[in-house]
Amino acid sequence: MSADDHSCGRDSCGCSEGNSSTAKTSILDQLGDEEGFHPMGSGWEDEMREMLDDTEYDAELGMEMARDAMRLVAGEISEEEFYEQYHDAVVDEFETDERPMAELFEEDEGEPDGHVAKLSELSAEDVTRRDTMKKVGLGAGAIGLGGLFSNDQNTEDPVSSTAAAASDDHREGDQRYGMVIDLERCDGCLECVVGCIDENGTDRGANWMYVMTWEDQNTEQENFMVRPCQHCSNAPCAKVCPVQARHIRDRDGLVLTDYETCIGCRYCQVACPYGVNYFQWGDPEIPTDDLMTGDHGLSGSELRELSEEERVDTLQDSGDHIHDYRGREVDSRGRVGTMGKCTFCPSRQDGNMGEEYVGTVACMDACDSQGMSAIHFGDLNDENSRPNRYLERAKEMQVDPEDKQEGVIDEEEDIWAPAPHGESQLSAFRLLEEIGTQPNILYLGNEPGPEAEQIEGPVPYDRLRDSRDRQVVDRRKDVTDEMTDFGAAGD
Amino acid sequence: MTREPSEEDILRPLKHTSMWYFVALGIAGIGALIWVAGYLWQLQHGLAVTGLSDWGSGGGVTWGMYIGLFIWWVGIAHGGIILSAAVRLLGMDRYQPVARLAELLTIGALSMAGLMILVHTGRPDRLVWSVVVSYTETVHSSPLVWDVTVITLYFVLTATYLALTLRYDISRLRDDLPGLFTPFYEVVTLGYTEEEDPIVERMVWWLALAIIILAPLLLHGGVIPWLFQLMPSMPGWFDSVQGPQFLTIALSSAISGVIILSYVMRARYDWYHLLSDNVLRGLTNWLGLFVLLFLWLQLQQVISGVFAAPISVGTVTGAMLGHPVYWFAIGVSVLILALIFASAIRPSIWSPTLAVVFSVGILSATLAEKVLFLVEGLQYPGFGLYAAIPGAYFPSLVEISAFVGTVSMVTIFFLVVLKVFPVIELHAVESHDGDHGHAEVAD
Amino acid sequence: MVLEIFGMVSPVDYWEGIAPGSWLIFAVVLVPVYTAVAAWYLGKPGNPKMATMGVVYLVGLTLALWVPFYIATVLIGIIFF
Repeated sequence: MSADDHSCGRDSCGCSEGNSSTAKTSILDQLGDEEGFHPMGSGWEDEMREMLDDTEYDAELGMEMARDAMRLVAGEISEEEFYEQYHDAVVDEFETDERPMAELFEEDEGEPDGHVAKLSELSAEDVTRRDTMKKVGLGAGAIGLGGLFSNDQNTEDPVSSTAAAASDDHREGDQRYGMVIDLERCDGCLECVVGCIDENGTDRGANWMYVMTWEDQNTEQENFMVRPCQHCSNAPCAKVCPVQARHIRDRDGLVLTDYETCIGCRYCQVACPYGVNYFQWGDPEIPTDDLMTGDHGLSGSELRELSEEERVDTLQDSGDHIHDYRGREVDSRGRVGTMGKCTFCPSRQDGNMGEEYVGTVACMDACDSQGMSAIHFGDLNDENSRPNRYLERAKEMQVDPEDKQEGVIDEEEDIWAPAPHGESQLSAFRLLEEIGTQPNILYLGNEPGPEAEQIEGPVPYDRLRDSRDRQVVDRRKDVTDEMTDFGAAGD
Repeated sequence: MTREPSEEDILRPLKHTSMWYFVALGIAGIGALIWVAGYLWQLQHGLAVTGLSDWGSGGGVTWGMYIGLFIWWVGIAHGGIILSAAVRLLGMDRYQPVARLAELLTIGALSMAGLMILVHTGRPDRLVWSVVVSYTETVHSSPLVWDVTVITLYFVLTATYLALTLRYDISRLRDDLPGLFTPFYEVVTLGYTEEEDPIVERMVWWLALAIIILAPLLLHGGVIPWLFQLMPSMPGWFDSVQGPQFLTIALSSAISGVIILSYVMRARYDWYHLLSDNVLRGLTNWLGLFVLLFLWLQLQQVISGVFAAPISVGTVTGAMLGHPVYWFAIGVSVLILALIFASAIRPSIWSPTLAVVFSVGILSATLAEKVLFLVEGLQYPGFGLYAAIPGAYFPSLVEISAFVGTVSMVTIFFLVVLKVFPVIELHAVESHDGDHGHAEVAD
Repeated sequence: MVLEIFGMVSPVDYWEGIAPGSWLIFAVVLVPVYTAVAAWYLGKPGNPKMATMGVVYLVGLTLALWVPFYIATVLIGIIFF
């Protein structure tokens, strides 16, 4: 019986019609036999097969097992049959059969109401599509295919790859810009902060790039948190915007504000968990003419009337630093009454600044120029991009877990000694990942816990000046208060 | 001993204008001008004049008194629907003389709420255009767009309600109304026939039903608290008790608004027999009920915030419990509740003036509580690593002028309406003297 | 047995398919309005002419609210921005 089914389950072959005319009602019929054995259809199966083909293991064996796992779930075959049928093949292929059944099976021998019996009690009626998929996942997981059935990002190991987090509905393009920031390499010099201010002409205190020095009460260690916008794939700020001014750019996932549409309600600022937004409370300190606008003399709407080719040429010829390739006003500091934040420098990515600036951001350039190279910006979907290459190298640097155990017990004193925690120990995290924002910044280094506190850094903000000779300000409110301080307003 | 209410009573504001009218108009006009000056200043220099700033490294708070006033005015606007529902849907006829006043309060208060949205934005010049052109997309995801939608609905439904009920009154009182507004009366009574009365009566009943579901449950118990409640990043807000909590505050403010309005009107126009002590006493008891519910929901929030809350929730609860403004709001509410209960046992404690004192107290408490809720919610975000957190905020003069200005503008609105059409329904006097002898369907 | 089934239910992604605002506004918030308007046309006593007048009120007042509001914002734009 299973042999018959194999022949027609592998693809949506012509024999499915004949099968469905027979009287048997198997789970396969219920799920729509013509679509193949898997509830998600033959297309899904083809994908699975391709992925299996890419592995060093036998693809056909995997598909057969997955198929019979479905039948197992439906109660058409027993756990015992499933286990026995594939035991030899699995041992052949993988040298060992580590499926959970192997152990369960031994435990349950001579004990009919054990785990196995319970599992097989499930009747086909109890099984929803979703449950079925989960259990198929269970079956497939036994041969190391679990990942195929689960696209749950939260369970994913952040270190494994930044490219794996690409499942986003809003996204059409292939690119997904993001950063790997190695906090261990940061020394708190704040050059990235100044680089950003110089690039974007932001007001004093509007530190789109912000660096915090922090410590935890349990340690004396000085840690850093480099905080640009997280350019979330599931950005709450874009979700709540009442006018679609805050949006995710389709082409490359940049989270941007259209300064010509924004009504300044500041809901994005309220919704953002990271506090990366800085409102243009008054007239911008740096006039538009000083922003390297280019000299094309066209307004945003005039730019948008051009064909994309003409527009891109215009923007690139003039080095426009305000409009992106769509002709939308999204780069540099915003107009009065609109929201601003780190943009990932869209006019650089669109080539307005010249080809050599594509794939760079001002803060990274500043960091590199200091010889720190803590910030690695690039396309996370590209395996060869700078952040992914950096991540690969970081992983290679990891100490072998075996070596880590050395010295854990001080034999002479017979007490626990602290494990060595060399610089090469890789700890990676995304900020507030549990809120579900799917941030595109991956941090390497220490993650601040709830009790962490910002402390005075090695370089105080007010010691620095930007290229326009303005003092760098840490707390923006000190600046915005100048308007409401009537004593000072008279000056 | 009681006087019989008559048409003459409800026409009094339209026929007589005392010196006090002009005094009130003058004071309210000055109040409104103060705000106009403040707003012009803001338009010139941007929101920098408000004392608001960026949360996070900025050390400020980005939403403040404007949004607090917005919530407060929408809350007061609920007076209209409570009273209309009591009369129209529950048949509590004794509140009929207050019903139209309350509906007008709804229109006035909602207008002020809308104005606060405008004043709050950094780019009022593109507010309408930007919202309208993206509406079909943003309605699916932006709680702020839901707010705009439901407030518009509430406004339009209430105004329709008012317009439909005015047809009956104006067509009958037409000869006694001032000639100045003839075009207005003609538009309102366009195509009026006596045959429509039972039909309009039924249409109005359905409208009242729609508004009673929409306004309390979906507006103040819905989209307004959801502006805050749906933000997982702000532990002080992310709490599903906010819907009911906002609603009890709205209902308390609404009843307070109606009490103050009734008290002033009956004193000015000698309406003691229409807006009787009984009506005011009844409203005070309702106030007591809503304040009780408000305090009960506060208790819910406090106990889950202090017992074994996550650190971030515990922090914001602690900040709330440590703030004098919070204890002002709670203290005033507890005191008023105790006095309302006491006057139920010993009626001699109660007086109309005391009811007004209660109302002013509750309105101050609700405004204080709402602004504090807003500000502290933003001051204690989940991601609290910044040294500049909690930021600092104190309402600036420009923001306070918006409070003065909106109260003044609602006053002006009433002063104008008093001279245009009767603010007490003709039905309210007819049910006593049967002047026009119309058989009523509902009551 | 029952517990196992509950344990296997996986969470629904509410943002996939119909976003919350879509059903919230059009299938919840507007229901009272649909009901009232339907009752105007279908209920007794009633006539279609009066019901239509009611609808004209609703639409007219919406416009009376938003059109002047729009003009005001345009004026603010011309003068201040």
